[in-house]
Order: sequence, then structure tokens, then C-alpha cells
Amino acid sequence: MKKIFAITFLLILMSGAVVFGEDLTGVDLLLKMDEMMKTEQKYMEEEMILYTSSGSERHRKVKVWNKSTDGDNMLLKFVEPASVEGTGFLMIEDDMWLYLPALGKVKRIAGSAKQGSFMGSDLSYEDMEALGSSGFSEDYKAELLKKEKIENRDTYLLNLSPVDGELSYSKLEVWIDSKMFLPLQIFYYNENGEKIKELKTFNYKMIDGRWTSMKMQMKNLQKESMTVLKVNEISFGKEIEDKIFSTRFLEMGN
Amino acid sequence: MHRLARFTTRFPKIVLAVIIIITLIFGYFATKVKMTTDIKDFFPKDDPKVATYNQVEDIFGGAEYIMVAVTADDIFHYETLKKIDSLTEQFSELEGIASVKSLTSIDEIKGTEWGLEISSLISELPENEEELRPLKGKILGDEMYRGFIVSEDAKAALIILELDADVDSVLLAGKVSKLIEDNEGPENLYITGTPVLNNVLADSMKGDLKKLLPIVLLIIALILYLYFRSLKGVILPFTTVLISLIWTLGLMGILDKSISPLNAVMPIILVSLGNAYGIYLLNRYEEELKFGKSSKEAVIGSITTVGIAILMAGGTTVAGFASNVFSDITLMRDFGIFTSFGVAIALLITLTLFPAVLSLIKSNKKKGRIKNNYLGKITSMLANLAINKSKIIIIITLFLVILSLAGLPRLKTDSNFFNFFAEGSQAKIAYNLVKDKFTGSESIEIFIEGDVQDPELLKAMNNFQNDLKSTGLIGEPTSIVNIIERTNKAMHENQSGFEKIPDNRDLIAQYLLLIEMSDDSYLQNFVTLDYQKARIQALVKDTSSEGTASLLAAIERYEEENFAGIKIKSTDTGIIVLIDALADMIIKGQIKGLIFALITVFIIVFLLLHSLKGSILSVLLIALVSLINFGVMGWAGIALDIVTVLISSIGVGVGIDYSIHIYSRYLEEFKAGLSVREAIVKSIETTGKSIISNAAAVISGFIILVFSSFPPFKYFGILVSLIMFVAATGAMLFIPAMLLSLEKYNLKSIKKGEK
Repeated sequence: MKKIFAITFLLILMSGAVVFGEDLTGVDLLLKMDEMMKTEQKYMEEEMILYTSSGSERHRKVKVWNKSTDGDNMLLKFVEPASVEGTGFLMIEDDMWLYLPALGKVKRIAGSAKQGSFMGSDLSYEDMEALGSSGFSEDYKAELLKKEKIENRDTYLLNLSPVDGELSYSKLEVWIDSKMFLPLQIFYYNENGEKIKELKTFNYKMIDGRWTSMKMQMKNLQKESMTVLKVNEISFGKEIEDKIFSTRFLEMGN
Repeated sequence: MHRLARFTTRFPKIVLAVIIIITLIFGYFATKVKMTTDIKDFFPKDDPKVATYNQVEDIFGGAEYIMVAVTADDIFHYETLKKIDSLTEQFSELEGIASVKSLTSIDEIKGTEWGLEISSLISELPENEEELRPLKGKILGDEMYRGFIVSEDAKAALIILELDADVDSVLLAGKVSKLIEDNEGPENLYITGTPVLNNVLADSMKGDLKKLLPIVLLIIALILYLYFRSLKGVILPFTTVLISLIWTLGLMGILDKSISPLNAVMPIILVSLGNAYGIYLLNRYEEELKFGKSSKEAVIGSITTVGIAILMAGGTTVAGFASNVFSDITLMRDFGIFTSFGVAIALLITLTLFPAVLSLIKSNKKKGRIKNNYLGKITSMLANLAINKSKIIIIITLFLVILSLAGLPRLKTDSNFFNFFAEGSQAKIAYNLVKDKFTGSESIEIFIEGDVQDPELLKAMNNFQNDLKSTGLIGEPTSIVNIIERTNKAMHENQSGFEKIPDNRDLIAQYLLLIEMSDDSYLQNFVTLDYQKARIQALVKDTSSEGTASLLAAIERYEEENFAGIKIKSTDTGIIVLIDALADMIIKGQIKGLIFALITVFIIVFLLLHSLKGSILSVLLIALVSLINFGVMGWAGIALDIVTVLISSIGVGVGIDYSIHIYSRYLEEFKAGLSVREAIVKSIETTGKSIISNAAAVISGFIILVFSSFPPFKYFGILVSLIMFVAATGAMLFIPAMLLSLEKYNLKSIKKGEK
């Protein structure tokens, strides 16, 4: 089944290439975007900066290991600020643990926390998963609205409506770059049809054979806050061992 | 004056047309005037206290709250808790509400056997008694919740709505009240908090104006009719008053100013005072008619004779109101500006519209109005008193002065809005309920700047919070300290010994990170992202001026004790801090304003009378009248608040008129060759009559305020009436008595000199 799917997918890809994307439907485009962004494994060193409307800032530097061959796994280790260095966060599906070096203990965090924002940022766990591992195709139905130029790049504007009612958004607007198939911009709308968040990507690099945006910026229009994610190092190629997604590894310094 | 009279009588139609057009324009803008009850509007835009308040609001979200109390036999009942839950939901959905804290929405840090959870205090509503009992025990046993979100006797629960920073809180309070009405029963619901009180205040202010203004107009119409016995005598002064009111409100509309609790009395003031000028003019006009002059000649005659006096009397009134310009309170300054403007317009209309209209209507040579014998009897009695009992009058005055001086130390200032509500009113009941069953409905916010992850700083904050709580002036203070303590306990298997600040800075940072990962919104109310600013929040039990003053003193003392030697900066804010600052501004403004008013009035009187003695006597009388006003307030326990503070400016500006009239008549008669004694009797018997009728009209306007729903307005009405009475009586008794005594003294010294 998987094979058939892969072959069909490849065919779609090729056909798209032949007609220069002219005949691509919204569904096709979204699949291509997901394929560009989804990875089975990924290692990143990134910086996260939070800004509030009143001018307050928070900086964090982390190392992140992601693997989604056997469910969604993530290990996150804090590097900066110094006071939290070595603090580790482990997520296996919906279970979450935290290791506090100053306490010397691993503690679980209630799964309900996953409904909230990711590390207090303007991105929710849902946003992170869609952008990082799960993609959008499974949860949204896409419709190609038009072609548009954004900052001198040719894009397709897609309108995404949720397949079922379990998502936080009523609608997404996604601008996909016509060459890289990366999202350049995503607008998020709430159930009242108001735009509540704005995602923008910058600084695109070809890494391990795929286009990657090295900087992302999410604006929360209601709270007037903003989160910037900067990737300092990223690799898709290195094999990540399954064993590092364990509480034992969580406690180890590295 | 003469030229003005000529012009208006020659082109009456032009004058009329111009006035009508201007009135229409102002009338259009008058409809745009809004109401404000926002305490921040009392302060100048750049006031540092308001800046701090706004800063805290910006950083941590609103510092303004709406409180909804739910009462039942026992709150811990499935149905009642469900009602609380449903209310919480409904409130959360309102736009402008930042957060809703209630039994069913409040989050708690739980240490579980496997880790940590931040979740609702009541995650699932237990349906049977058995499950409810331990929950009740747990919540009532926790000082974080008892007295804060549920009362000690479990008969009342509180829902606290925190408002967004830039929201129209009064409008929102209206919406919440509406929701409350829909959800009433079987539980009783009460709503309070500053925005709610302000909402009630704005509504009642409108209601009061609608109710009282027609009564004032009616009574004044009645007095005018009794005095003039003609329709003209009612309509003309009335038109003046209405036009001045429309122009004033129109100017407020153009300048985008709002009606506040402070200037809500302005229409009553303008109506009561504005018609007086017309009375003097009409009076003279009728006298002139009796001499057989034509209407036009009579108009010119009366304008040229009494015009100056009217202008001067109006001038002192304008100056009295203008004295409020010296207040630091923005709304008081506005009150001064607009009331002065209104009075000036009333003057202008009297001196232009009157002659224009009078010259248009044919004079119906009617017989003069019926002499009022009662007035004559009263004035001759007063004249008699002034002449024969001058010593007693002065002794009584001295006695009153001493009594008033003794009352001064008792005079209190109160800028508290809560006293605007009468006992037994819905607003007061709800306010008292929240005050008695819970810690209170107003908050004090202590804004901390420093390294909030530093154990030393956190421990100092903790000691400070404990010291402050031990005063009994506030409920349980909450801050980042409580969050860290609870987390520390949760991470140590809930051992109670660990409910404290750990010594390790890294551990604190990691705890905070843990909470960030779990539920960040929990922190944002108490600390900034960079952990450099925090706030301590507590509900205040006693929001009276004394209560606030002692709380602020305690805060200052404990800040000094606990924060010495630590890199920390703390600032207090909150609605009650603003209210407290307002009280200070009231006093300073009052003293400055009074001095200004007395000096200005002295100058005007001196210009008019050209008599140093007369000016000093008049101003002395009015200073004594102000003193008596404060004395009465002191003895009666009436506080100097944002409404009663206006009384002295009215007293000076209007009260002085009586002295001016008496003294100028006295001078006139004295110069005509009468003796001091004869001149006094003549002036009291003639001018005394118009003083009495004028004072009667003014007093009957103000006394209507007794029917207001607000205690300060009632006091305002009574006190203004009282000082008008004292000023009028003083002009007819004290000034003559002083004149006589001075004369005797002069005679004696002359005799001494001769010897």
C-alpha cells in the first residue's frame, strides 16, 4: 500500500514538473509542501526569541532531536540561558517528561499541557507538529485560489479548511513558493473568521537535498506578541538512534 | 454699555438670528457629549501615578476588575457549582475580558505521584455529596482560596473578571450586568467592582439629571412668575438659561469633553444662577416703563443703569468658578472652565437677547406688579436688627467663626467613589457583601523590578507579603513567590516543608521553565518574559481614604524593612492608589483656588466700588462664609470630596454679589447725604428685597439636589443653599454691623484726638 502511494505520488510529482505546475490542484500543492517539510528524522540547534507587546523579551537556545518513524518522538535540551542549561524535555506521542538538573529528577508533565502553547511561545503544539512532522494534508482540505507574487517570489495561494472539527482553526491561508514548495506565509483564522496568527518564513537554504527555511516568525495578532525561531544548525541525514528518546537519556548531559 | 444697548435695540432681528444660529450649531455638538466616570480622567495626561498604573496594565493585563458574587445555602452543591461554571464560561466569551477566575476555572499546581500538573482546581464537577465533601474541605482549608474565591462559611463564591487594558470598562460592566440578570435564581447574584460602580454612577447621573432638572426649571419658573406676574418674566430668563446650557454643552462637545460626576451638577448650577441677571434687568426695565418711557427707551435705560452691576456680579461668579482652573484635577479644571463659560454666556445673552426681544415687543402699559408686603416686613425687621443689635451680630459671628475653626480639624477628604452610593442601594449591598464575605473588590498592585529568579529577592518579596498580610488590611497576596513555593512543594512529593523559596537560583529558573512548558499563561499575570519585572497583587479590605492611607503607609514601611540591601525597585499602583492621590489633589487645589478666588473677587469689587473698606468687608464676609462651610462640613462629618469641593468656589463667586449690592447701595445713599445709619436702613429696605428674592431663587434651585440619589450631591445641595443663606444674611446684617462699629470706633478715636 505504501509503495503504491509512493509511486502515485512520484507520478504526480513528475506530471507536475512536466506542465510547470499549471495543472496542479490545491491538494497536489499541499502534498508537495508537506513532502518538502516532513522528515522522518531531524536534528536542530535553534534559538527561540519571544517578544510581548509591552517590549519584554525571552531568549532560549535549544538542541532538538526529532524522529517520527515510530510515532512522534522529540527530545529537547536547553543550552541557554546558563541557569537552565541541561534541562531536558522529552515527548513520546502525548507523554511528556522534564528533567531538571538542579533538582536531579525527571518529572512528568500532564498531557493536557499539549493543548496550550509550545514553551510559552506563539506556536501551539498543533502548529509545531503540522510544520514539523505531521504536515497539513491529513487535517485540511486544500483549494487553490490563485497565483500571487510575494516579495518577488511566485506563489500559489491555498485556502485550507479543516476536515473535522477538532482543530483550533476554522481556516488557513497558505502561500506556497512555486519553486521550493515551502510555505512563505500562513494566516490562521479562528472560529469567528478572524485572523489570529501570521507565520512568515525567511532565509531558505538547500540542506541535505531539501529546501529549508532557517528563520520563522509567528505573530499572535490578538496578544500582539511574536515568536522568532532561528535555526543555527540542521541536518536530516544523520541517523538518530531510537534509544535517545528515553528518560534515561534525558538525564544524561550532552 | 450704552453702545451695546443702542446696537441691540436698533438691529434686534440680526441679534436674534445670530443667537439662534449659534445655538443651533452648539446644540448639534451638545448631542455629542458623553459621560465619563473613569478615575484616570481626573488626572492630567502625563501624571506619573497614571503612567505607573498604565504600565502595569500594559505588562500584566488589566488591573481593573468586575466581581460577581454568588450566594447560596452551600456553594458546594452540584447545581450551584454548575451555575458558577456556566457563568464563568459566559463571561469568558465576552470581548474585553482578559481572564475569569472562579472556583471552576482557577488553576492549581498539583504535585502528583508521577510528576507535576497544572490543571483546574475542580477538574470535574462531582455530582454526589460524598465526592463534594473532601473537595469542600480541601478548598476551604487552603488560604489561597478561602476568603478569596469562596467565603469562609461556604455560602458565597466569587467570580473575578479581569478586564483587558484598553477596554471600555463601563460598557462592559453593563454587558456583565445583563448576563447576571439572565442567570438570576435560585442563587442570588451580586455584581460590583469599580467599572460596575462607575456604570451605575453614569446611569444614575443621567437619571438624576432627567429627574431633577425639570423640577428645578419648574420651581424657578414658579418663583419668576410670582415675582413678575407675567409670561415674559418667566420666558426671557428661562431662554437665557437654556441657551447658556446649550452653548456650554456644545463647547464640551466640540472640545470632546465628557460629563463627569463632578460637572453633572453644572446644569443645575447654570439654571439656578443664570436667570438672576435677567431678573435684575427686567426689574429695572419695568421700573423705567412706569416712568412712562417707550419700550425701547426703557431697554436702553435699564441696560445703561444696571448693566455694569450685572456685569460685575457676573464677573465675580465667573472668577469664582474659574478658580477651579488651579486644581491639578483635570475634570475639576474642566468644570471651572465650562461653568465660567456658561455663566459668561448667560451674561452675554442677558445683555443682548433681552434688549433685542424687549424692543420688539410692544410695551403693554400694565400696572406694576403687586408689592410684596412680606418682603417689606422682613427687610425692615432686618434693618432694625442691623442697627440696634450690631454688637450681638458681631459676637454671634465671632462665635460662629470660632465654632467653625474648631470644626476644621474634623474635616475629612474622601475621593472614594464608593461613598457615592447610598446605603441600601443595590450597588452598596453588593459592594458590602464582597467586602464582608471576601477580602474586597479592589486590588493593590505592587510592581517589582529586579532579578525575579534571584532567591534573595524572592525571599524578600515573601517576607514583605507576609508582613503585609499580618496587618489585616489585605487578603492573601499573590505573586510569582506563591507559584514557585507551590511548585517546589509539588516537586518534593508534596511535603509541606518544601513550600518555600529554594536557595538555588538555577532551580528557580528551571521551575519557571517547567511552568513555561506546562502552561505559560499561568505566569504571565505575575512576571514578564525576561523575569525582570513582577507584580504582587492583593485584594484590599478597607477602601476608605483612611484605610488606603494606612495600607500605603504599611507598604512603604515593609518595603523599607524587607527590600533594604537588595537590588529591587517597587512601586504601588491600583485604582485605590489613584483615588488616594486624588484626595491630595483635592486639598491642594482647594486652597490654591480659594486664595485665587478671594484675590480676584477683591480686585473686581474694588474696581466696582472704588472703596477699600467696602472691598475688604465684602471679601472678609465671603472668607468667613467659606470658613463656616468647612466648619459645618467638619462638624457634620461631610467629607470634602470631588463634588463638595466645588462648594467654596460657588460660595465666593455668587455669595459676594449680595455684599456688592448692599454696599454699593449704601455708598450711593451715603454720598447722597444720608447718615451711616440712615444709609444702612435705606439699602437693606430697598436692595434687601432683591437680595432675598435672588437668594430664594438660587437656593430653591440647589436645594432640589436633596432628591439626588447620590449622597455627595445631596450634601452639595444643602451646603450651597446654606452658604447662600449665610452670605445673604451676612450681607444684610454683618456688613451693616461692621460699618456701624467702625463708625463708632472712628468717632471715639476722633474724640480722643480732640481731647
